[in-house]
Amino acid sequence: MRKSNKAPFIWLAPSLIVLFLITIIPTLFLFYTSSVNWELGLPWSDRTFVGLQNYLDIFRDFLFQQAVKRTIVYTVFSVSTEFVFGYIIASFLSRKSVRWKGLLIGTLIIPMTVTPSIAGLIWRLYFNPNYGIINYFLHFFKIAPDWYSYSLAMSSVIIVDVWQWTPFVALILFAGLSALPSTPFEAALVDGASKLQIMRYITLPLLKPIILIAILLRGMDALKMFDVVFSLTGGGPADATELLSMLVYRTGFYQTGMIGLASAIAVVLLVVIILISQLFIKILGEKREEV
Amino acid sequence: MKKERLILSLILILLMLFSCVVSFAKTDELQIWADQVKKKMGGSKITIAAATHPSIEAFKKMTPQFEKLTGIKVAWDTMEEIYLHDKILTEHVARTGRYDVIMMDVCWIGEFAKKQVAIPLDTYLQKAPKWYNYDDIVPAYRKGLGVFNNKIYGIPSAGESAFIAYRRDLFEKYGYNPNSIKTYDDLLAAAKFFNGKEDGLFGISMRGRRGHHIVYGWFQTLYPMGGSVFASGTNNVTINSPESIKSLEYFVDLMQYAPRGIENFSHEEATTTFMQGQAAMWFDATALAPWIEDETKSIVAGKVGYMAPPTGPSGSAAAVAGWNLAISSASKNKDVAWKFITYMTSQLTAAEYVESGGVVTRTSILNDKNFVSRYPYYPQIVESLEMANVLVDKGIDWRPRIPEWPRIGEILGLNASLVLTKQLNAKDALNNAARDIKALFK
Repeated sequence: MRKSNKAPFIWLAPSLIVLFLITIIPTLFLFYTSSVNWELGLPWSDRTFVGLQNYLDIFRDFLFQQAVKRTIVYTVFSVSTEFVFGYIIASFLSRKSVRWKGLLIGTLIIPMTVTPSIAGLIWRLYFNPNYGIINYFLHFFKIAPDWYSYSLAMSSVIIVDVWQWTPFVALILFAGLSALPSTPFEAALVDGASKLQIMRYITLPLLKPIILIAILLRGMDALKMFDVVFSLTGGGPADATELLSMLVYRTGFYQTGMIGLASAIAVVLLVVIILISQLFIKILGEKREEV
Repeated sequence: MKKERLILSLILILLMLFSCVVSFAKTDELQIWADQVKKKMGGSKITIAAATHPSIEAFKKMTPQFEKLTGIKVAWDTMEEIYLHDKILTEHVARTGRYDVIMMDVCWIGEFAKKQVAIPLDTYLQKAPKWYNYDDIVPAYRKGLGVFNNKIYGIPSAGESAFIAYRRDLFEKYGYNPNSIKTYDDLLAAAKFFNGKEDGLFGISMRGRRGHHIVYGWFQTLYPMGGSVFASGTNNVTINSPESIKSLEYFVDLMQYAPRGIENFSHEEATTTFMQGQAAMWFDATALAPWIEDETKSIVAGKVGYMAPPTGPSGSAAAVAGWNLAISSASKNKDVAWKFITYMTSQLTAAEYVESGGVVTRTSILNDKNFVSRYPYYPQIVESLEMANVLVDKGIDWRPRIPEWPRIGEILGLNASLVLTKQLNAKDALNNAARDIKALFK
């Protein structure tokens, strides 16, 4: 009996060790660096322990408050737009009358295969107000928005994210829709339910766990968004697109080197992501039991 | 018949020998030096940390010859400019000794000297061969790029100043005399004149992206208008002085006539817009002029005239910026690294360097008739550099070479960008900047 109790641990050991080395130790180290004052490039022995001072500093920092607000705006807008479009695409794909389904799904995957930082660079050219392709097409409608301006820069970043990750949401929802049992729908049709009623009272409740997974994955990604912002706007103009990860990078590296402060911001980001994902997972668990 | 043939072949052989001797004499000194190096260090290996830059492309083209001559193996680690700074610092902190030669932006020199990332090169330079000729490097570069606290930390490998390019064809078409642009007010008037003159034509293209780009654009006007970051030779912050505020206001004024999207423009977009014929003028780094003259990419190539920056109320001043080659303090092959730098930046190899697409750093090349006829903008570079040297001689750094500069640049870059995007007025923004900069020195 004893032997069989130990057996799983032996098999788990390699991955646990790797996980410990590359995830847990750096995270603990992150907590430590968030409590010291140290500039990148100086000898490690020059650090001074400051306790919670870094946290107090960032919560008082105007830029940090702005970054938190912008990260929330960015996450809410990009994830909800992706969900709406994703749902529309998924329900279109799950119609029986749609032909060439394999080809359509294959095309959907293309944006996802582009490295996000490269996507940012490509869109930086597309968005260029003077020689970009987007304004070239828009000029037929006599409009020429300045995508880099303070007010529009955030929407530019959201558009890129939506372009890249709507297919992902769509594919997850499509998989969910295809796996739904057909009996409730048949029953509803017999009862004479309208299409909207079917969607509201049957499809969405049945699909809830899948929807939550999609939103959870996208939400966590959006909260730690970095690459597209970095290559598309660099956090600018001014502070218009400075999200939390961008602020971490700018504070810790990028010519400033304030590792302590940057670690503190990163810890805050980490805690927020963990809390939100726990919340979602809890809701998800409850729903599962109901179903 | 036979005799004739013999004579002919003799003449040919003589001719061949003669040409060999001529070419040999030119590289004779180099060959002797290389043989000595090969004896001592042949077979050793060095790694260079570099940014993607035309000068590095040129150095890479010269590397096989260097490897053949000296028997030293050269490995390149080339990356984006922004990563380079982080990468060098992290390697330095970890004391890996991975890099022997590092490419160093002039903005980093104070920081790298303070953190002892790079070592002083004075003792090496004293032992440099005669054909190296350090004094031939443009004075503004020598003094303005590679020196910190009177010690030489880097050898200028790519230097630049700033100047204005204008569309000769447009200026002729509308009868605008480019020589009439003498002051910054004239420049503003010219930008206003051309802005919207034709469909899709803007006045002037510069950079405005947050961070060091907008600082670069704005600083073109800072010194001529009497502004400065610090009072000369002290740490007293003067970036919120009335003159400094005026210079930022002027820059934002000028940017009304800039292409749309200027708030996100780095040098790339600023120059591309001009190359696409969408701006009448362009005010940026001299090192970018080859792009404008590149017929395969630029539709305005050959239609462009150049002029040195205009004069402001406080006289004229021009930017000095550029890159150095330096030796990493953690290197295990410092002597070998120095031999590499010697070969790549010497006067003897300078022509080859520029031919391979490098960025000119030496007076001898800038004044060479052969080169001037091929690169029409060389005289204006010299003129800009003389203006730059005015600042250097006064002991003012265009961008202060102090360890805190990268942080100061970030602070100024954010606040200037807030003004350009109309979130703050220049006075409030620069007062904020001054407050944050003062906090750095506490």
